[in-house]
Amino acid sequence: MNDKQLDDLINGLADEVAPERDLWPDIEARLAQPAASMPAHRPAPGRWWGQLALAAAVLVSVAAGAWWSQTPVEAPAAVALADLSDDAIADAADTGWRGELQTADDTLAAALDERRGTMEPELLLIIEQNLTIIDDAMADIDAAMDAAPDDPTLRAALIDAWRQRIGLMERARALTDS
Amino acid sequence: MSAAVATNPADLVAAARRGDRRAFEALYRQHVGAVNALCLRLSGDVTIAEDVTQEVFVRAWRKLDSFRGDAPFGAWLRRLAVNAALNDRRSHSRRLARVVPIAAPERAGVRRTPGAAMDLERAVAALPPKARHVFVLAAIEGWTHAEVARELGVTEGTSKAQLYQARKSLREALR
Amino acid sequence: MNRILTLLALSCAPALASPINEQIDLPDGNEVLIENTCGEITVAGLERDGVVVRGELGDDAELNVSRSGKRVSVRVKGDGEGFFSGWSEDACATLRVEVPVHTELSIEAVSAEIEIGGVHSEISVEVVSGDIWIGEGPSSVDIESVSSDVTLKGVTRELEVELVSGDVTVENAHGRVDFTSVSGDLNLSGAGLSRVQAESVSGDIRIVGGLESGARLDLTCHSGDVDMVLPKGTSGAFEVQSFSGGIDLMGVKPKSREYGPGASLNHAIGEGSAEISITTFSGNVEIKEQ
Repeated sequence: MNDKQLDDLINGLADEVAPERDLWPDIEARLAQPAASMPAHRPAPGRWWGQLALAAAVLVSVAAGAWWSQTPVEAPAAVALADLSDDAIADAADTGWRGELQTADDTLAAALDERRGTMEPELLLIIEQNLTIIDDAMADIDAAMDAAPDDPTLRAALIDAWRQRIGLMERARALTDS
Repeated sequence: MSAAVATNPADLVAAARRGDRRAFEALYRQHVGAVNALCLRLSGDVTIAEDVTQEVFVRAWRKLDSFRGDAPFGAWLRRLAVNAALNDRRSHSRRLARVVPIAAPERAGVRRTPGAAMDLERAVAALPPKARHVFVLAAIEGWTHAEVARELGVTEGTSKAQLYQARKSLREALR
Repeated sequence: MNRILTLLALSCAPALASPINEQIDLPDGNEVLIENTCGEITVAGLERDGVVVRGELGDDAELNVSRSGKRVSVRVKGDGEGFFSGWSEDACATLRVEVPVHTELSIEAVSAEIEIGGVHSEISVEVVSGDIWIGEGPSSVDIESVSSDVTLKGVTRELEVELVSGDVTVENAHGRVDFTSVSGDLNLSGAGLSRVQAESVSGDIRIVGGLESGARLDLTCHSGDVDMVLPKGTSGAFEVQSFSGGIDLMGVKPKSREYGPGASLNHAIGEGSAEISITTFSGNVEIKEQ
C-alpha cells in the first residue's frame, strides 16, 4: 500500500462512531449525584490483616522448622512476609517449604479476592495485571527448576519473585485498609 | 426556550449553562458519535472509549462556564476528549503489551464493520500507544506537529518520527 | 504559632471550583506536608520565606492550612473517612504551592498529577496514581506509587523509587539509586553513580552514564532487558548471567552456564574497580562503551 492509498483510507474514516450502548443514563446519574470513584464505606476491619497475620504465622512456623504445626502462632504485626530475611525463607526452602508458602500465598490471594469489591477498578486492574506478570515469571522459573533443580540462582530468583508477589499483595492490602 | 423546542446549538449551550439537563442531553446526542470516535481511536479499546466518552460529557457539564463560544462547541468537546483519553490511567495497562501480546484489534473490541476503513480502524488500534496518539491527532484530527508536540510533551521531531513510523506500520499491516 | 484556616466550599449547580489564596509564615529550611485526595499539585521552590497556597477547591473538598513549629501542613480532604478511603471527584483540588527553596517537602495523594520545581532539599512523594515530574536540584527523592510515570531532571545525592507500574526517567542522577518495579522501565542517566540497585520483573533497565570508582551496581530483571552505555575508560568488573536471554558485553563472548541453558559472563574492563552484577531470566543484556 502506498501513501496515497493510506491517505484515501484515512479520508474515508467515519466522522462518528456511536457507542455500543446509550451512555446518557449513566451520565445523567453522575450529573445528578456525582458518583464516588471509590466506595465510601470502609471494608470490615481486621479480616485482611488477620489473614496476613495467619500467613505470616505459617511462614514463621515454616522457618522455625515447625511446618507441621497447625496452630497459628502470634506473628509480629509489623513483620510482613516481604520483610522476612532471605535466610528465613531459605531455611524454609530446605524443609520442604513450597507447600506451606503456597498456602500463605493462597491465603493472601483469597483475602485480596474478598476486598476486590472495595477497590477502585483501575487500581484493581493494575494490581491484578502486575500479579499476573509476577505469576508468569514464577512459572518460568518453576519450569526452569524442573530442568535444573540444583541451580542456586533459580532458587534465589524464585525467592525474589515470591517476595515481590507477597509485597504487591501487601500493598494492595494496605490500600484497602487505609 | 425549552430544550424540547431548541435545536440551535448556541441555544442549547446557553440553556445547558443555565442548568437545563435536557438541553445538555440534546448536545450529548448531537456530539456523542464524534467524541466516541475520537476516544476509540486514541484508546484502541471499546470499553475504555465508552468510559472516557462518559467522562468527557460529565466534565463538559461541570466546565460549561469555561466554554467561551469562540470555537464551535464540538471542537471544545473534542479538546476535552483528547485530554481525557490521553490522561486515562488505564492506558498504563497498554504498557503490559510487552508481556501480554499487544491487543489485537479483535481483543481491543473495535467493532467489526465491513470494508477497508474497518481494517484501518483495527490497524490503528493495534499501534503502540505513542504512535497511535500521534497518528490520530496528526493524521486523522489534523493537528500540526507543534500542537501534537505540546499536547504529548515531546519535540516536533519526535512527533514527525512517530507519525512516519505509524504510517509505515499501517501500510505494512494493510498490504 | 498555630494558625488554622478552614475553607469550606459550598456546592452549587453547575459545580464550580472555589479559588484558594492563602499564605503562612515559614522560614527556609523547614518542612511542608501537602495532602490532596485527587487533582493536581504543583510546587515551586523560591528564594524567600513563607508558604503560599493558591488553586481551586472542588465542591466537596475542605482545605486546612496550618503550622505547628517547623512544619506547615496543607491538607485537602474530601468526603469519606480516612485518607485513602472513599472519595469523589468533587473532593479534588488543584493546588499551586510556593515554598522556600530548602524546604523538606512531603506529598501524599491518592490520584494526583504532581509537578515540583526549584526545591533543593529532600522530597518524598507517596501516591496511588498520577504522573510525577521533579525538576533538578533536590538532594534526595523518595517516591512510592502504584502507577505513575516519573520524570526527574536531577538528583544530587539519593533516589529511591518503588512502583508497581509506570516508567521512571532520571536525568543527571548522582550518588545512590534504588529502583523497584514490577512492570515499569527505568531510564537512568547520570554521572558519579556510586550505588545502583534496580529490579523489575518485566520492565527494562537502561543506564547511560559514569560510575564512581568503587561503585556497586546490582541490576535484576526477569523478562525485561538490561542496557548500559558507559563512558570510555570505565573501570569495572562485570558478573552477568541470564537463564535464557542473550548477553553482549562490548563484544566479549559469554560462556554457557554450569546449570541449565543460558549464559554467564565474568569480565573486567580497565582496572575493574566498580562492581556490576546483572541477572536476568529471559531478558537480554547489552553493555556498550560510548
